[in-house]
Amino acid sequence: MRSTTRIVWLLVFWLLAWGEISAANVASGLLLGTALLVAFPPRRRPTRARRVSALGTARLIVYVIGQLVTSNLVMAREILSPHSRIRSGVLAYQVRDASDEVLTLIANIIALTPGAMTVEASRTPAVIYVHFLFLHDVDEARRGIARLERLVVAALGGPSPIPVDASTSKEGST
Amino acid sequence: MIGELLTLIGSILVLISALGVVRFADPLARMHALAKASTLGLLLILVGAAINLSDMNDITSVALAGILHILTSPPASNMVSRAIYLERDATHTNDVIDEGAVTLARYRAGGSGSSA
Amino acid sequence: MTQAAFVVLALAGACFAYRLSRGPSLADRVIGLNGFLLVGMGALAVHAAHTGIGSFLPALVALALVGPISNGMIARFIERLGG
Repeated sequence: MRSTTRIVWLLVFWLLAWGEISAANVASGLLLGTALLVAFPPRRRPTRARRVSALGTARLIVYVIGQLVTSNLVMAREILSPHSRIRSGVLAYQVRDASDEVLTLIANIIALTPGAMTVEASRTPAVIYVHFLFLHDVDEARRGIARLERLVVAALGGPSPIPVDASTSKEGST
Repeated sequence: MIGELLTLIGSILVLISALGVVRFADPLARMHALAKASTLGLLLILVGAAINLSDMNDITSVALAGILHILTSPPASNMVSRAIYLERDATHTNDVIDEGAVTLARYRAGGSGSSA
Repeated sequence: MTQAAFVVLALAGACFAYRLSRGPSLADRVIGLNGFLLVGMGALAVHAAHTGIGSFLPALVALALVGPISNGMIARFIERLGG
């Protein structure tokens, strides 16, 4: 992320906190944002720049909202029904695009998908451990994470900063 | 009217998750119940409140709270889940499969090279 | 309908209070506390919408910011205790 983008984001939060767009608020927000970036310079990482895709991001947001609603419905059914369908288990999933952004996004979105929760993640190798509450079909659970990974990679776009070996690289996306 | 309805639905989602927190036997399952409803439930309440409010300053405050909540809630759930998972007694779970057991053993031995 | 929302939130708060006081593990209490925070935030928003007075809304923003940080710290604490 470039520093102008960062300052704009900080300004947006500053204006939301004040609740009013005035010259004084914009000026003070710009000043404060610049001061913050000077005081706490963001860490430079040796990753190549990604080209975030607007369409991919929109698709990801729609997917997350859908998952959020279904997960609430599934959870409500489990809580309110008298007999339990719980069959819990932990799966390890190897993330193919082993960059920090992809790993972070996947791990956090999984917390919103039905009956799944990230319990542990490691960077090298890029593996996330996901706890499932309704693990009736292991392959289906894995496919769910793979679908999410494809969406996240498509949204973030750009090349993978760390080369993946050809045998496990991505198949054609839907 | 619509705002009040959304607020009520959100509150009911929070209540359902609270019932789950009481009913479920396993701490991780309780965390599941809380994490799902805490995002959508509170979000619905906030949207409903924003519809009912008229002052622009109040609406931006609610929007800011909502954005911050969505951004910070899943990582917090993940951290608590990780703590529960790493500290639980592995012999007393009903898990049908645990592919993280190897990592868990390494963590217990003290050589943790992982980050949440 | 707003009264109904308050009642529902109060019931949820009672459930979380049960989990907070009963435990049995520290993690369960964290979950209860977390739920309590959630109920408090919801109640603040419902109250603001009900009365039309937004003076408490900055507290909502502060809770949304600070709550998860406390969560993370307690999680680290639990891990240190056991590990």
